[in-house]
Amino acid sequence: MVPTGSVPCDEHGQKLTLANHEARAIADGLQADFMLSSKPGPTGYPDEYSKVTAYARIIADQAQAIDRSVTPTPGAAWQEVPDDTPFAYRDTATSRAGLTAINRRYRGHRIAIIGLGGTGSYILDQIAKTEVDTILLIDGDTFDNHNAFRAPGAPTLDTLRSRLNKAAYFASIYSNMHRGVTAYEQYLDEGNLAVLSGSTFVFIASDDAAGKPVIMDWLEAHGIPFIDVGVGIEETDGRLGGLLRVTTSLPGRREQARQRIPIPAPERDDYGRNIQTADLNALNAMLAVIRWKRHIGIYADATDEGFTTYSLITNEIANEDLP
Amino acid sequence: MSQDDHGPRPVTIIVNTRPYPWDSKDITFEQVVELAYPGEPGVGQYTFTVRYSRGPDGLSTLR
Repeated sequence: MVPTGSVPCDEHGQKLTLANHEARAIADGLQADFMLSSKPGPTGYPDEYSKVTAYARIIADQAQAIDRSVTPTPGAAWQEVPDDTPFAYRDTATSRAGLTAINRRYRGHRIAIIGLGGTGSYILDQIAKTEVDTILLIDGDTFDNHNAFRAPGAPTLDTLRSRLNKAAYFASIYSNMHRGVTAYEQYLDEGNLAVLSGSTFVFIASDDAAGKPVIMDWLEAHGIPFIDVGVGIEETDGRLGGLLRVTTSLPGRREQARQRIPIPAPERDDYGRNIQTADLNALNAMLAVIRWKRHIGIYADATDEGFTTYSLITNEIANEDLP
Repeated sequence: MSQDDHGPRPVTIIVNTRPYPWDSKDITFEQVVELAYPGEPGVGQYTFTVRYSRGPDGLSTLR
């Protein structure tokens, strides 16, 4: 079903100026040869129906000037296209931008996010906008006031008062958009790691260094790639400085990654301050998500680094542990 | 690291936003951690990431 055609013309055979020759993949097996562009004014059309019927009329009117019996709506050719995306509503910009085929490559991916704090919640904010099959959110903590200041969105006070589990809170918000989001309202330990079974990629955004080794052991044993993120912000002389860290652990490069992930350590008073700010959480999350998209081939990649740091005071990104 | 330096001695090294005079062109991982957290238990017990700019090969981490 590949529609092909010549340039749309007026009744005298002059090419219509609204049609630009531009081949685009609309979907698998469906290719367009032209893009039409004709806006009635600065505000465009009032709705999609008006737009489509207006374009149909512009082309059909010319044909009907020659043969009054032709019609753009013969009726018999109507075909329902099943909407098989994981989204609750359509991404109307994707087909226009010619990204349908690329976005389809997210299919089959099953993502788990361990820890829905500052960085984990921003990771979710981005993953939820991709066509991955499922997104599993894992956290045993409650969503409190201070979390709201390190998370995307703006929850109401009533929402905070209901003291929802973090995973459940974010699942309720993001399932508005992505149908594959589920919550697991527990911390992970030796007894429940099987919840990660079937994951194709895992983001570890937990500040519990002591809980990580058993998780990382399991992921390595099951051949599942993962990214571990960390934020190290400290106040010195009244200003904040520090590092963001993204460690990527891929099969065959596990030991290298282990050395880049903090070991469990005894409590220290000033470590308990755990300074985080929403913008740095978000940047760390974006670095992690972009690294994942380069790994799965959505974004081109020429680096394949295992370790990235962003230094705040110098505004610089360093890539290390190249293959 | 080469000993030919172009800047004045002592060099100024900025660790966790604070400038320190440093009388050498070389510094070790442990020395940086000691500048950042003087007198505190450090390397071996905790994990530190020492990231530098304008050093050997530009920017990287020290190990």
